[in-house]
Amino acid sequence: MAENFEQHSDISAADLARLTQEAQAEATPSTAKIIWSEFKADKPAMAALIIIVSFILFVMIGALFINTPKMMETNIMGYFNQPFTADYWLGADSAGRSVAKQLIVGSRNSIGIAIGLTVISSTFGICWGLISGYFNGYIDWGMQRIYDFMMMLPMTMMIIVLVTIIPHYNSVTLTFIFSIFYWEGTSRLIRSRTLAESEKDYVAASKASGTSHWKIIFREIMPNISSLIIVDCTLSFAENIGVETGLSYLGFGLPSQTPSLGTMIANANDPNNITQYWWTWLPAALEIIVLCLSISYVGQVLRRAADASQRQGSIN
Amino acid sequence: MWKTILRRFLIMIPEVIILSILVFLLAKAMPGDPFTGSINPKADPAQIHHLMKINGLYDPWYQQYWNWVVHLFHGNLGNSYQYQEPVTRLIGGRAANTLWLALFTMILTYVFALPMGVYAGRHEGKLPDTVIRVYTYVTYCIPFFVILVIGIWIFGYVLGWFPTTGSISSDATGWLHTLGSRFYHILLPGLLGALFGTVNIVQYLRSEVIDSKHSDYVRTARSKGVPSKDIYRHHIFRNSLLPIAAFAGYSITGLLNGSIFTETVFSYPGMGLLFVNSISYRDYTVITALVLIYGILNLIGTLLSDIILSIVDPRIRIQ
Amino acid sequence: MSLIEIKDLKVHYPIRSGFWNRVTDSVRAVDGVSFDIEAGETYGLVGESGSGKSTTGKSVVGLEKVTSGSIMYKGLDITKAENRRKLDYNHDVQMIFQDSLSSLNPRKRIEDIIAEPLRNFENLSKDDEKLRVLQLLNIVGLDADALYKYPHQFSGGQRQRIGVARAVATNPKLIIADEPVSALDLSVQAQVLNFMKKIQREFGISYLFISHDLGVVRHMCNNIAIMNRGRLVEIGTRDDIYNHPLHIYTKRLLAAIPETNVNSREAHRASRLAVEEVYREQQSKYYDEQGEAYPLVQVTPTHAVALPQNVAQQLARQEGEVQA
Repeated sequence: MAENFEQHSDISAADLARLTQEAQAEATPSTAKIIWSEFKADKPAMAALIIIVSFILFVMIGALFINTPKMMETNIMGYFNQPFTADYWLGADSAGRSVAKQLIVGSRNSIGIAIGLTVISSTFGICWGLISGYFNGYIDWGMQRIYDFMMMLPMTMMIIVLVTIIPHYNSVTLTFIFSIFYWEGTSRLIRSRTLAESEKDYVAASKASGTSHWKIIFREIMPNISSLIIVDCTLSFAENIGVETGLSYLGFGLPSQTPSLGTMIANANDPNNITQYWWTWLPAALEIIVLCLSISYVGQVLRRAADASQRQGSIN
Repeated sequence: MWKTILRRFLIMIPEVIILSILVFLLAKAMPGDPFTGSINPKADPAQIHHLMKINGLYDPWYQQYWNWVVHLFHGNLGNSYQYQEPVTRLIGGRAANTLWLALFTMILTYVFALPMGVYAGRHEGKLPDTVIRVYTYVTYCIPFFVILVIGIWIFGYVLGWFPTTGSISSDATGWLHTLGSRFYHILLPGLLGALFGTVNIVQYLRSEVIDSKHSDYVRTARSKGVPSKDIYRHHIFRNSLLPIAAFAGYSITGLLNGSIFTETVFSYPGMGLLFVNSISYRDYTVITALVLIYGILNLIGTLLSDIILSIVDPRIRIQ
Repeated sequence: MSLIEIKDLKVHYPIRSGFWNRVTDSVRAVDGVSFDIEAGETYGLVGESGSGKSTTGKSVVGLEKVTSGSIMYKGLDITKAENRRKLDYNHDVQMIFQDSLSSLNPRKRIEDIIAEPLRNFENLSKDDEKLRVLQLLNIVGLDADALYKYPHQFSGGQRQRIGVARAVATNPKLIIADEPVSALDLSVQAQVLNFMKKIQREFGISYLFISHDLGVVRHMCNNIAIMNRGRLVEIGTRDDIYNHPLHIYTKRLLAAIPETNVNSREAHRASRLAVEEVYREQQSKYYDEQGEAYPLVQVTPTHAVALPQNVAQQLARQEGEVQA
């Protein structure tokens, strides 16, 4: 057989290098490029993206310069200080603690948990969906039953119960507890797409080429649903901001000495605070709204871009 | 058909059993013993020991679980340590409040969502469609508890249009006044829940209308000269009605989840607020009962929806 | 010994029903199929859509879970996964798919697609691998600049040639070609078929050529099996099938080949109608009471047909007389 190949090898190494360059130059635009051009064309989306990125960077870096335990000390002098003053430019709460500083540290904590939750729960959900969708039959059936069971659990209640059971929890354990209950949506979405994708011939061709199941799942199928994964992660991120802040608002999220957007909104539980001292909670509420809207707007644009790249990938 | 329902029902049984075991074990794992709140802290440790013993708290867990289940089937969920009252009676009073609010929210949701969905689908791509889509998108991505807080602030405190606490005003007399007062108390939470919970129904109905607008049977009807109002009313809307009804079951999960927040914000004495209070007091008979009830309600909701959908579409009958 | 021997292959899909979801019945996609493929030959498997020919092909590659029966290769039954592993079976047996677009991963470059079997079965250095892929592209008549392109940048015929290149990458002994040209334009069909023939000559590959188009099969195959409702109804050489068909199903398929000669159009139509007539009247003679094909009986050393012994003999005599 070898000599059969030999007679066709009329190509030199130099040719090969030249061809490599040429072909790479005219290769299809990558998904990332398509998404980027979509953002450049859409000004509001660009604005939303800039808001999110710069805001996250701001709170992440800003929080580094704030001494949290000192900030959380009670300061009688600042009791319900009015906002827009030199010392407290967003006012102070009942313990005289600066709202602006709490807002920065709280945002860092809340966003950090949301990012961690998104990473963990999406990774798990994606793997679960891929495996369940790819291996039909008993594996899928069993995984589906577990999924059904998880869907039945009253999520918020279970999280609260778990939080009270664990004696010393911090933001990391909290993120893990949330992750137990927030992978289902992703897994369901990924599973249905994987089911459709597994039917396609390229999967059969890979099997016939002797590629292992795991390689097929993560190297063949996953890249083909990558745009769906990107979009889903973005949208879950927006949703997950509500998860921790909601629980903290109820008083079962981050401990009270660790500021969070949720604990700040919990100031509104006091009928006095809610009207008279509105600055203690309203900025945090508005921040969550702006953040969630921007992130999901970016998610919508990503979805549009993903659809576009899908089109370019199939038609031609 | 009946086979499908029955089989679906049988699948539920192991789920409920596993849920009950899980709930029971979690309650056991919660810190503090059940007498912490009810007994004088200066009480003799030997006496506490005795109480634990006669209440079977030293038995192995499966023994305790079994006793618990037996009691459960006798309608006995134990006593609340916090309120010194049977759990069944305690929850019974609250359950009505929660379900009443959930039902009201659900009805309002349909009232808002149905016309919006049909209207958006009918005017696909035009201004009303865009407005409705932006609206559902905005309502969808803001966390619900933030909406509740801002809602009660504006409409409850600043404008003073709605009551901000309780389920009934203390001076309500006569059945009409009572009913009116109850209704008045759930109006704001119900409205907020409905206005911010339309997204699923609107999106589904919109795409359904758009799909069927281009389907052959609608084209046929149109070419026969059926007025377009009738086409939407009789052909398109009626076809999507059952799947939309099925959303009611699935939305139970969301409504119950939301009830914890709604009732906390509005200090509304339902099961959600009871749960939050019980957690603070480690009142674990109440906690187990509530988690179990919420789980079973979720299950029934999903079951109902699955049944409705399997009537509509035989393809998705469970295998 | 034949290259591969398929014996009484059955692929049944269960139908579940009833309260407990027990298996109450099954769809018999492939129901007792036996044939052998010799080294270097092209074996045609012909039948209408839904006759189970693709399922048979996938079973031979090892993509389908076989219900019963055996596929013997090098003395081992490759319906068992561990035997396939032991033999590195897919190194020797590859597949070409019908839909050239969906059989190439849209997210992978042509280099990675063609190199996939090489990476799994042969440890080549990066440069050797690239060279090998270039040679393969050259064999199927594509330029080297295809290397870094993506599947959607090619036409249907080009894509199918990429599929062929991938299938021959490991120098297999047998390639299952599942309707390799049915999705292509007629003009491109011949091109791809000629490439396949050329590769067969150069590398000594056997093909299991699955098609519903007897015209194409005639061009490609030495031996042919006709499949109908999961069973084989007739096996024979090209001459046996095209010139001495015995089973009514074969006759109907043959009559359905479009006639390009305008002058004999009427005659062609008449013969087609005649076959249909026979089919309507004598259906019971060719199929058993359940409407299924009979077991195969040998008529000549190369020719077998699914009919009761006496009917087969009688038909063979008749056929002989007509020919004389």
